Amino acid sequence: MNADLMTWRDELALRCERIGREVRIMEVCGTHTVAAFRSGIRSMLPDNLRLISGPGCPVCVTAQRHIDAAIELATLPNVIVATYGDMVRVPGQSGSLERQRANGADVRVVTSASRALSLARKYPDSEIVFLGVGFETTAPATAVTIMDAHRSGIRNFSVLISHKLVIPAMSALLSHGDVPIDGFLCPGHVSVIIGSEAYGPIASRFGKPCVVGGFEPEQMLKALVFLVRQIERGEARIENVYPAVVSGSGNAAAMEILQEVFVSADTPWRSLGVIPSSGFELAPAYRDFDALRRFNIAVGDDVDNPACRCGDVILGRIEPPACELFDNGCTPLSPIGPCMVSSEGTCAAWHKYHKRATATGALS
Amino acid sequence: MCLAIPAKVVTLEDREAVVELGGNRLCINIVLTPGVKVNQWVLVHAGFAIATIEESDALETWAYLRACYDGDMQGLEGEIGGRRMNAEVSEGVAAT
Ligand code: SF4
Repeated sequence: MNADLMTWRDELALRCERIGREVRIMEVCGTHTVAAFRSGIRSMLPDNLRLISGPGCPVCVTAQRHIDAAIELATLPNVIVATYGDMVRVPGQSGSLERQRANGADVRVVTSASRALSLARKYPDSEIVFLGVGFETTAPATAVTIMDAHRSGIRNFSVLISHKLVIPAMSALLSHGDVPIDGFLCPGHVSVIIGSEAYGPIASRFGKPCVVGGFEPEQMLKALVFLVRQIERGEARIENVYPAVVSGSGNAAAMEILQEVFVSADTPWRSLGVIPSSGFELAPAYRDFDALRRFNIAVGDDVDNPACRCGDVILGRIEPPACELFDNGCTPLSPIGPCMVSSEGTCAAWHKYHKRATATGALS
Repeated sequence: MCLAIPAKVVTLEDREAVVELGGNRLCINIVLTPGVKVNQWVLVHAGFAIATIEESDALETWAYLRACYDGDMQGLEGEIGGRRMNAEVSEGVAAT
């Protein structure tokens, strides 16, 4: 371990000891979830510091009703569904896109929204439906692609809009109030787009410190130290310890494009229900690209498997081993809930990295 | 799925750039980083540059990625949202 890492680890331990109670810090980013395990950060944390994974995995927070709508779209004649890889295995009410594909549906994995548009050019006689999932990091790519389709007059391309916004989700969690949180380790690459100042309401209205951090071990430990310093002093400010990448105001070009293509909308999240202004719908000029509208798909409700506790996991109420199905019927090879599907899902991360899978699961 | 990876811009053309990313050449969209120049480093996410960064920071990140994902580029690909870097260059779509 390098000297800097040890210095941060020691300060973290010292301050947590002085605070003298359980300190609960939530990260809201699947990449942080995985990086904390992979880099060994978790094993360096003081016993009374809980690093809780919040609703930060875009696959996990996609409402089941949107998966069901995607599956319905995939069954339509002449439709090709194009999606980021993790989405194909997420269970809907009955089956997954993967299962539909086995049944003959045309479902393609793409690495970028722009590749989905390339498919539309390549197959002019088919309808290409792209699944627009992801947080603010990913939404600008969808927006640019829709603008490109609009500009090029491509008519056989549409998007199932299921993008999510981080700040409304954090606000909703805090308003719920049943999961105590002392501060947030804010997502690095979401913040590239929205800027660190965007966390203002979380600090000022809810009194929670917000520190934007990177993904390398030193950056994460440093962010945690900055958080516990604030917690110890009873402060609630925004701090950015990832300034090489994140600015105060974010990516202006990306924010402008988001505003051009989308308007904010009340959006369903898996397990959190509909959160006001927590996602997007297309602005009037681009509504023709709305897949639900084009194919007249009605979005229903979520009917979650009652035994799967993804909701409690996403809300930070429990850690995965507290779910009876964890590694006991639910594994990445045969996932029951979305948190086990995505490589960034909390259950999948615990399955892959957590050696003490049978350790105490309940948090509170 | 929110991970972005540093890459160096090799050539620029209108709205696109060819970047070098972990030994692969990749064509990406640069609309979100207006003013980006050849030899600059960008963070790439889902086929788009989302920020420009300093070379020293980019190299530091790559040192970390190499150490952390050594021999597990697939794991890295998985964590950046199923990106298949080679497929993206050659055919654009991993039609699995
Ligand atoms: S272990 Fe499986 S069933 Fe349990 S909460 Fe996680 S995804 Fe759901």
